Amino acid sequence: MNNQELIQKTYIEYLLENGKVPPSPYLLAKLAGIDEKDFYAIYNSLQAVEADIWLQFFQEAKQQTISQEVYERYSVREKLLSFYYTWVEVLKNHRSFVLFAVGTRHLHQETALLSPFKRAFTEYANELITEGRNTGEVVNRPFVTERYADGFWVQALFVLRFWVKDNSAGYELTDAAIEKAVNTSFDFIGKSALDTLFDFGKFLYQTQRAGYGL
Amino acid sequence: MKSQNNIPATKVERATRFVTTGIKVGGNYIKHYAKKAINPDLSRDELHESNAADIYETLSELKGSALKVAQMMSMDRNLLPKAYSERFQMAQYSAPPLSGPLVIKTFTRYFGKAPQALFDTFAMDASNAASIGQVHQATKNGKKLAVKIQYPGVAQSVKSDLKMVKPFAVRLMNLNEKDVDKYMDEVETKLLEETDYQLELQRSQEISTACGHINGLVFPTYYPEFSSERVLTMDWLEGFHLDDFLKTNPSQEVRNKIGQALWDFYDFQVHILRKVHADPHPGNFLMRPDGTMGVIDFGCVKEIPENYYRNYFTLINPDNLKDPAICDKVFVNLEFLHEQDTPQERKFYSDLFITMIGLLGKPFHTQEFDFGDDAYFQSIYDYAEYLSNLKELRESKVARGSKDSLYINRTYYGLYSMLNQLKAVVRTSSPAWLWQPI
Repeated sequence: MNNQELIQKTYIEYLLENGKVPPSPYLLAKLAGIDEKDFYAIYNSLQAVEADIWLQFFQEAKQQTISQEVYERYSVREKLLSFYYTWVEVLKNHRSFVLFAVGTRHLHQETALLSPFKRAFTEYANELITEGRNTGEVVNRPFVTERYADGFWVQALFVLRFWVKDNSAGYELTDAAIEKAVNTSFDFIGKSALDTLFDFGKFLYQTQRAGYGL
Repeated sequence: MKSQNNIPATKVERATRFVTTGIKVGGNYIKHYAKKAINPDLSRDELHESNAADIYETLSELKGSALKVAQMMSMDRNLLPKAYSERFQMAQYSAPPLSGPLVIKTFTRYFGKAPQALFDTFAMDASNAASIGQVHQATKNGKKLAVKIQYPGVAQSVKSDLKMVKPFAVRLMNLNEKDVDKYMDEVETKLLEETDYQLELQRSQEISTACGHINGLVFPTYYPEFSSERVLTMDWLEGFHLDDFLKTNPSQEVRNKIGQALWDFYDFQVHILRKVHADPHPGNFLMRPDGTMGVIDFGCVKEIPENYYRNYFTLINPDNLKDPAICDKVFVNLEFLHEQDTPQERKFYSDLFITMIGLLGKPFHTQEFDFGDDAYFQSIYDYAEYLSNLKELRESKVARGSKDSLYINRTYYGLYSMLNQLKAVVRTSSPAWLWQPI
């Protein structure tokens, strides 16, 4: 285990055993059995440790997702679904930590703690959106398309909060929530009645102007 | 049929669906009366048609238990006007599939590995949909398998779904809420049982073993090692669903053979096992050109209580039906008649039931019965139509019939309806005790 993993592991253990974050980098380093300077070589603050933990969860989930043999054959919608399912599985291994993190400090407001995760997730979401535009699953709408990734970020936080509150056996309801949330979002960003209506309106407008009176 | 892209998520969203349907149905009535003002000849069929389409669309988007209720209502042709039942029958086939990643996730949860690792091959695209799950094709050691996977959260949503179907049921059946509750409880119990694939596995094995000797029937082997609460694996059976089978123009001999197998299957279950595959919709039977038939899906099994059984079948014997004392006793036992009925009501309803039972019992009265006799079915529909137009019945809010009748009737309606479509001539066996004087 390298120092980075060691620090993270010790951080989580301390948090679970004491119900609070470690008081200082010094203590954390000591508990991890490393020098304080080795801590600062990797992280500049305790908050950076926790932010990195969230990022690790994401990367672990993404790695597992894309290394599946079926992944390449999935549509973009399925890729995102598969990511969420895997992510929830990863979170499951650290449920107590996640409950503490989400339960004690309104995680969605404290974006600094999540910002490395958010950056990585948004990047992945943008990759998917670009792929979706090529496959036709995502429709390019001027000004709106750039915001899609933000929408997926909100969705990811929704999944996280839903799972935190889920009491069903095997978190079955979270599965259903993911399925429905992703399907709904792809209904919005895919070709919909709105596009055809807009297109039709534009057509009428242009033809009227060109003298095809009704 | 339009493909469905999302499943309504929350209870509120589901409720909204029903409200929308309510409005649409209301709108259809307005449309109907507006048209009728212009064209007085307009039949109500068209109105039923548009209502059925709207209700169906709503139900199929809700999936799960609501779809199941649609299936039940479509079997019960006496309860619904023809247009409703035709449209609802579509509910018996396809509901939209669940995503590949969720299928994999479900497998990983129960078996610790992806379906591709568990089986030699596994088709990610569902080959067909059942109302609360979907079926995938797989192979293992050269055997073709059918793997049924249940949608997540079905069991949880059964109760809230039924609560929302209730107002519709109250309206369609024109009963008071308390009486509807009695039936809804029965439906709820059965639906919850259906979400338990372990129970289904056990019943499938039990009934298919017990019925294995019946000529012309083929049952799949079930694989407990590839089954769990949400996954059920069995042999893949070849064959056509009834509609597709009829398109192949099977000979009368083949139709009779399949019809006979169907009859014998139900005869044995009802009278010997006292437990019956109570979901006789065409999706559960796979018919083959050689006159054999595969039977699948034992999710819905009705156990017939002894007391109910005796009473229900006593009146199949026309001699008993002619005896007012016997009729009276049976009608009270079966909750067709109630203590608070006035003598006039008693007479009125007794007469109706006697005619109805006489009609429905007809196939039992002869050694052989031609279910292709459309005149016979027309007479049942006509009588049902006559009943539905009776002012006394329409305005009566009292439920008649015990809760056990629900699934037993559904079973027989389903059986008759399939035999009719098959146009089969069947030797209608029945146990000897039916014909002994009481």
